[in-house]
Amino acid sequence: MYHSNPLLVEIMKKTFLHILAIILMSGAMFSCHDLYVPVTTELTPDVFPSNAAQYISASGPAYVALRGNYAVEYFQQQSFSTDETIMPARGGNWFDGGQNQTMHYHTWTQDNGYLNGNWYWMSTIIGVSNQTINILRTTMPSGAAKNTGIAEIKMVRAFAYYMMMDNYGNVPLDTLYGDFTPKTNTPRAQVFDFVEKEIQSCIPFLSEVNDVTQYGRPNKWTAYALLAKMYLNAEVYTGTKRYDDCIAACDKVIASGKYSIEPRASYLQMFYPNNGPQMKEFIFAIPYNPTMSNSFPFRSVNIHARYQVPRSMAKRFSMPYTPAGSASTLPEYYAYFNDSKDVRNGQWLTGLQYMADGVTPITVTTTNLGYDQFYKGSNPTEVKTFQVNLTPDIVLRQSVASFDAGNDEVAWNMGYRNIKFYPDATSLNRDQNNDVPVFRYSDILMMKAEAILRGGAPTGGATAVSLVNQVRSERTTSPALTTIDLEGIYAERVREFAFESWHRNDMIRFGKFENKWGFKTNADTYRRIFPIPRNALQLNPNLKQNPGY
Amino acid sequence: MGASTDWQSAIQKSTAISTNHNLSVSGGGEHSNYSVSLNYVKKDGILLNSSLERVIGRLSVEQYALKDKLKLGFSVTNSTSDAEDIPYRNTVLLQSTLYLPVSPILRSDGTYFENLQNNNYYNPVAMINNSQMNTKYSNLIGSFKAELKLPFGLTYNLNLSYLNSNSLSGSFYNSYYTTNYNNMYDNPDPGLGFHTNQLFGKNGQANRSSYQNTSKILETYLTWNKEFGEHSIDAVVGYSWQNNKIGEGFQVTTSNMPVDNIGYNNLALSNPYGISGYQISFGPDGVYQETRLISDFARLNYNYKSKYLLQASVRRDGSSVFGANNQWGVFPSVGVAWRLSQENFLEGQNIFDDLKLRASYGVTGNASGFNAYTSQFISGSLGTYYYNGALTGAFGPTKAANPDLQWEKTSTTNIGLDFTLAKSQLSGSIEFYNKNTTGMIYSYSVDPIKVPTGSIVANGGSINNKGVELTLNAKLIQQGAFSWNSTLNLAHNSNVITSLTNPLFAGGDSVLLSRPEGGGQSGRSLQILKAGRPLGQFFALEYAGKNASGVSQFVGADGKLTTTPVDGKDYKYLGSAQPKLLLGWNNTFKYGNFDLNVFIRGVFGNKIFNATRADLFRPNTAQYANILVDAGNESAADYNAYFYSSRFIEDGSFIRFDNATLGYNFKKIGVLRNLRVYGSVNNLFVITGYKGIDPEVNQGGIAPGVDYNNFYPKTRTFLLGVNVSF
Repeated sequence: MYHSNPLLVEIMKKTFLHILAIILMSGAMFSCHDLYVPVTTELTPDVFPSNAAQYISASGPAYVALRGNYAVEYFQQQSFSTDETIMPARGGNWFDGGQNQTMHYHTWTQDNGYLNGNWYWMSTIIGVSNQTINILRTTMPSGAAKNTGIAEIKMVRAFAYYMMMDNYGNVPLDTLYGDFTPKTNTPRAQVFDFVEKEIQSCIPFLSEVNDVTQYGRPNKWTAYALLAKMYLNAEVYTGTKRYDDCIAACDKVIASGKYSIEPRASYLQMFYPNNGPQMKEFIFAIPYNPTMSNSFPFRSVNIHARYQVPRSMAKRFSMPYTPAGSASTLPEYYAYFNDSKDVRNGQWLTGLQYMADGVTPITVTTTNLGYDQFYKGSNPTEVKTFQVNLTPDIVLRQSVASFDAGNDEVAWNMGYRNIKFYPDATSLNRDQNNDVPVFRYSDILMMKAEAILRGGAPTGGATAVSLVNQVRSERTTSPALTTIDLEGIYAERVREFAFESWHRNDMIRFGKFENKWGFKTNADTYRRIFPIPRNALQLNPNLKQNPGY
Repeated sequence: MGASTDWQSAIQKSTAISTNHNLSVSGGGEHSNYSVSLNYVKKDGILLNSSLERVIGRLSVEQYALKDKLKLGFSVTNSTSDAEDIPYRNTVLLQSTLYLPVSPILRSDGTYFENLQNNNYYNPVAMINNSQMNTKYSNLIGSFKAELKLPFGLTYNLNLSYLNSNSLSGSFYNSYYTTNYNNMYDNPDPGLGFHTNQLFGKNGQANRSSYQNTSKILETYLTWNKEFGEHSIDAVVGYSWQNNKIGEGFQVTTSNMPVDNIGYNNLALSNPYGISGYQISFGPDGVYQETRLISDFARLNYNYKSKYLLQASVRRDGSSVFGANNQWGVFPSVGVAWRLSQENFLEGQNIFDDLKLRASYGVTGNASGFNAYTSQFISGSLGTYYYNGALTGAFGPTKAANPDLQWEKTSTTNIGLDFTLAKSQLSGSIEFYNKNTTGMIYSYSVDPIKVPTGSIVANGGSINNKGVELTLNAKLIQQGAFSWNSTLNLAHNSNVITSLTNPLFAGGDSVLLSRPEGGGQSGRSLQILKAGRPLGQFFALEYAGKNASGVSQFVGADGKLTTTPVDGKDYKYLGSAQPKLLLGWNNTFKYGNFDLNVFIRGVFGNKIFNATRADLFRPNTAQYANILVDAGNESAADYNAYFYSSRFIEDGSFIRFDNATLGYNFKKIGVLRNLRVYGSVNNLFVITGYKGIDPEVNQGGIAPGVDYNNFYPKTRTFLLGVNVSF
């Protein structure tokens, strides 16, 4: 018989319990390996976008991106490269790596800040549009709302491609979100074809409405206006004349009856801080508002007055900040404003300056040296008070090599200033409420007139001169023109579209981009398109530099 | 006019007083013990309106049970701090160097002097006195520990802890500030960013924010300790679980206060809707994040006769931040050591008391430093846009989703020698290491036409650090009541970025960074991140003296000299911020009851980009802004003098007399067990050739070695103290 030893049993029992305890603890130790953390505070694809209001919000990023550089850096690229604007350094300030100097001299390289920044901006609009189209395509239920929503975003993308083709010529065509293979340049003419077909494919789905519900987003007439701009410049872009097509596109907008020329009394108001959907001429405008928010790496604001209004005139315009006043026009450009009866003269600040009452002089108190840094008299610190007097010429008194006018009152009061985008006294800061038009009805009439002069067949009983007079009659009380030639069209465009980002485009089409103005003598024709900027070449090794650069 | 203001002194206090009190009590019995301590610090900052107050309380209790087989520990630490600081401190520091000394702080009518027609030019004293900023922190750490001794040499440990940190901040800009300084630029620390335009409301603006971070941690492990004759084994297996929540809370910025003196303390009195167009801000999107980390680990220590030592471990770490298929990573490490002094062949020698050679290799993983939801497709606010007459929210992807994101790995190889010789008179160690980080998680630049946010957080580049460290301890003198012990540390590290591309997208192999944004130098960068180059690589214009007409010229990309260099294109590699040698030297002297400790520190062979100096080097702006005395000797015709170039890259080497403490210990006076009286001085002097205020500029992060008015002035501190034990 087997007799259990009680002591041994006790020991075995204890050992067993210990082992059990260890196993249990080990089990507890390695039980949980769940790493799932639900996301409850962000917009995940499960919850967004999934209803009509959310589709509107999901479309928004394309418009926030489009607003990006349009009113500032894009304008500056179009304007600083022409006789419209010059921004010399002031004692080294505003030299900014020579980016303003090389734009003026036509010696820009792939390193220029504007060229890099604007390429990046246009690429972003296209990238955001591709992504937005993909989101709407995969989430929205089929129907008219979806077709129109996607067509509008495609128009934003088409406009971005148009700007890119107009500025940089041969650009990569990226149209599918999620395709990460780096593309090489597409020749300019093929980019033109893509944009043309894209616009045509959108037209059937675009809204024909022109009111507050559509303002800021492209409608059918935006599409025709962009086509007209493409066809008017087609000879520059592709070598093929498309003037009849231009006239046909203009006729679509004219026939819509949705737009009319703003009368003389309200021409200047078209660009005031309170402009908006009520403007009769605005076919497509980019709305700016100081309270809009933006998370893209672009300024996304309109700050025209910051650059144009002299520092001493902040009070005159009740501005909430001291403007920089570093930019002005050149005498060559201002010379076109030679009709004293033209309301468009009202957009300039010239000569002696007065407060809003028109009689109180605007004065500045400084010292002799503060007034003129080259003062050699015996009293450099003597107080000097003078009335602000804007002089037409730009003189690089401090250094021609550094593009520098000096950092004194003489330099700060050089050059005539443009206040078309009138300073916004209601803003809390330098950001202005003035919307910036892209296409105006007067441009439709001017484009049609020019297309006729360039060989297009007149339609609807209009002639080049009748179309131009249709615009001029609402701009000046001078007698109507009896004849017009291309030179006359150019002069009229300078007066009509000053500071609206079309001057570079006009100068190239009229063959004037190689002229001399200011300090610029360079006549390289390859500069009609800008170089592919350095940052773009770094991010996409398949890109090739444009000819000449 | 005609004043003589030292603006840098004007924003500082002449002296600042600090106090530090410590009280601790501890005790215990046979089966328990406890300790309690309280620490109070009050420091006056050297800049006007800056100070810090901190209280730390600690309590810990240990209790033994089950015949001392079970040890239970419980501890709580709470620390609270309350700091006053200066809003836009870097801008204030910048203005204090820029403001003309001929301008007074106050006009004769008692108002602040300002010349606002001069862009980006503000009275720094007025900036300080018309704004406030306060940050309060409260940190709580509670932990519970249990250790149970089991049979067979086993021990079981369970640790639970809870961490909670709260911040409460406020800032206020009064009506003077919002009227005069709207649209000013900030002056961020050097890095990838640009300066930005600061917007304020009207009649004062106040901001309040309150955020909480919490972590819950569970760690449990089983240890087996066994000795068999000459063999000893120590083995551990364990598991840990951690859940973190950060950014739970909110912030709000409002404006239009009825008076100036309520500061940020009563936002309810603000009337933001009274300002047309003003919008209350709730701060950035995506602050709240939750993450989870789970690990299994095992470790084995083996040693034979204390002569051969082996340590091996392996961890399997999981993190919720990675894509579903990449959450887990396995990280092994192994180390061996050989105590040569125990070997027969070294017996009988009397040079080495101890000599140990060791080597190790290990891999660790990193899962932090980026947004917790990076691997997922998430939309957020991208701004507002005009839709049907109203400003409508625009929502879309705010970052590129990267479902392939996985652990960043760092492998480290280490070889070292520890030695003690001459009867322990001299001991020390020498150590060589080589550290490779691969699959570096970084925000890589991407063509925005592909990824509209322009960057993607991905595994890509790699970085290498290798170096040598030497430590020597010497008992130099020991005679009677006098002794002198000395410790010397020398370290050399070489850092290089070995790759900076990510496998998803081509291109973008270099990044320009550090933009001080001085006048006329918008966007001009000082540094580059690039493969084959270290962090802190300077990349800017190369100064080549002056041309015949006295204008600064630079070496162009084509090697020819130019007075009109092109940013980027004409940049050159100009040395780096990485020091070649770091030195630490500590000396302890004792004589009777006196003791003296002296610590000296040095950094050698590094470069500093003195952008502060460059921006004050503009002789032709003397009528508008302050310039350096040195720059007064420059020709006024040299319009390029201030360009950020090699002219302003200086040797950053220095030796700092960091601390000296002299103490006297009284032995047993009445009920006092010990009384110690001491005095100490910090930062007595610096020996350096550096021309800036202090060579110890920011040396860490992504953009080290740039001096741009972004430092809190270093102070010389004198301290008197008493320690009493009962």
